[in-house]
Amino acid sequence: MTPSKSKEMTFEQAYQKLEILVEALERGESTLEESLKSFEEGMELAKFCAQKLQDAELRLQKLVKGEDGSFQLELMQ
Amino acid sequence: MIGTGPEDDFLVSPEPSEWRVYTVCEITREIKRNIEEGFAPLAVEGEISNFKRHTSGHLYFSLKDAEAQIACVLWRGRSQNLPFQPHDGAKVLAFGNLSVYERQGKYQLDVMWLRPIGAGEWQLAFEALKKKLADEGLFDADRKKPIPPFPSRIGVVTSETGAALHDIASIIARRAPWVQLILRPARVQGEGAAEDIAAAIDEFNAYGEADVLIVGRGGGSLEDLWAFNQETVARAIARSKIPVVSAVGHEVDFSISDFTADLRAPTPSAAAELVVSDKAELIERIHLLARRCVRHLKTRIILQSERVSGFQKSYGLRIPGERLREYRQRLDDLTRGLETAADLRIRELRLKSASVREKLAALNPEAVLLRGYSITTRARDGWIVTRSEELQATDAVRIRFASGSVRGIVESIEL
Repeated sequence: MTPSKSKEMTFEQAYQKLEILVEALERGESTLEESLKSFEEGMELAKFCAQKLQDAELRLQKLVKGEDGSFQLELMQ
Repeated sequence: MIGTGPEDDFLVSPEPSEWRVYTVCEITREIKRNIEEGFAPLAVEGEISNFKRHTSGHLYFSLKDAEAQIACVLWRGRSQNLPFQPHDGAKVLAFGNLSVYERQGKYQLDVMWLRPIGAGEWQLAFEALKKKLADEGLFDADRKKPIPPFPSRIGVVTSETGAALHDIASIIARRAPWVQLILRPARVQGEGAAEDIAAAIDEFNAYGEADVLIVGRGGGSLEDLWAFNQETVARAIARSKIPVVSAVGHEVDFSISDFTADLRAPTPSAAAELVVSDKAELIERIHLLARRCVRHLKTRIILQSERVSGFQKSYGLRIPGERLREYRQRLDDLTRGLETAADLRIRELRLKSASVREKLAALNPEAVLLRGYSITTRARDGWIVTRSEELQATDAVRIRFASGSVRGIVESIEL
């Protein structure tokens, strides 16, 4: 897992991936080399999640329906 | 006024040539113009009588009080949006315009909207709709959709200017600032409110990007909250594919939308709290997962290294041992990386619990030993000594260093 890859994920996806990964790791069915890879990925995910929580700032937007029936989001104060 | 004539001669000389003569049609038009232009839209309070629902769907009735009555008509298109079922004897407030029905020479109130006056009527309407929808199974538990555990996009249907939006936004900003909050402003009281709320729910479904919807408003009178007791809103909630949290008014009152929604929150603030996880709690959970990773890998490496040192003794194999040293090196690097990430973390966690740095250090006793600490165990039972009173003079102890250990006898205890 590269950091650029994890940036495309939502918090939710990263968190759920981390949970699944830790459980798989703890089942201990993988080789040591695989475990180490999972471990690295897990650390990346944990950092990514923590960072995501830290950086976040609430975005409030307004749903606006256009005349053609398409939707747009407008930023609100 | 209407028509002119020589008043002095009115009784004595009704000479047609001096009078303005109207056809029935003309005078009716004149009356119609005067009435329809002479009155602004108005509200009339009265009791319904002679109520008739025509097969066409239009409603005809009179409004009366002790002294007078006025004919009323409510066209089909509008009759579908009423907050209750009108019936004879109901006391109502009718909003509309005066108009003249030329064919019958009749003036009437063209009703745009109608609502009951008095709690009794409201209560009856509430109970009737509640029963109807319950009988249809709209409130059944197996219809309820689960609320997603980590919504990243939350749709809100409420007034743009009301307290509810402010309450929801400030709670989510505090607890889950990563969330994208999307408002579809809707009128939440008065004429057309129910239709607007229902349209907003439908629009979110058409838009398709929200994980959950909060539909509601702050507290108010029964009348203010009425839109949430209307069938239009109940049906829109029921057909929503996105889970809906109903959040109407004060804690004690239930609305029809509460029964139909997938989750009922007592207030808009409570809805926000129910929908998002708390930031501090989530951070704690992430770090717990990270610690489980570290712990697992350490165990794994220690086990493997013991197995390998066994091999080394028996067969003199060196290569796996070197690989293991590499693994250990990498693990130490990664763990240090985690400590750096921990430094970046948010203050809350530091306040809430001992820092992750300490926890990680605790998971890595070798690192501690390398800094000059040592571990003392009681020889007789292997107990790890943390206080001097756990030992007595002459107890045999084993002291473990980063490399190797020594055995000794306690000379004296210093408390």
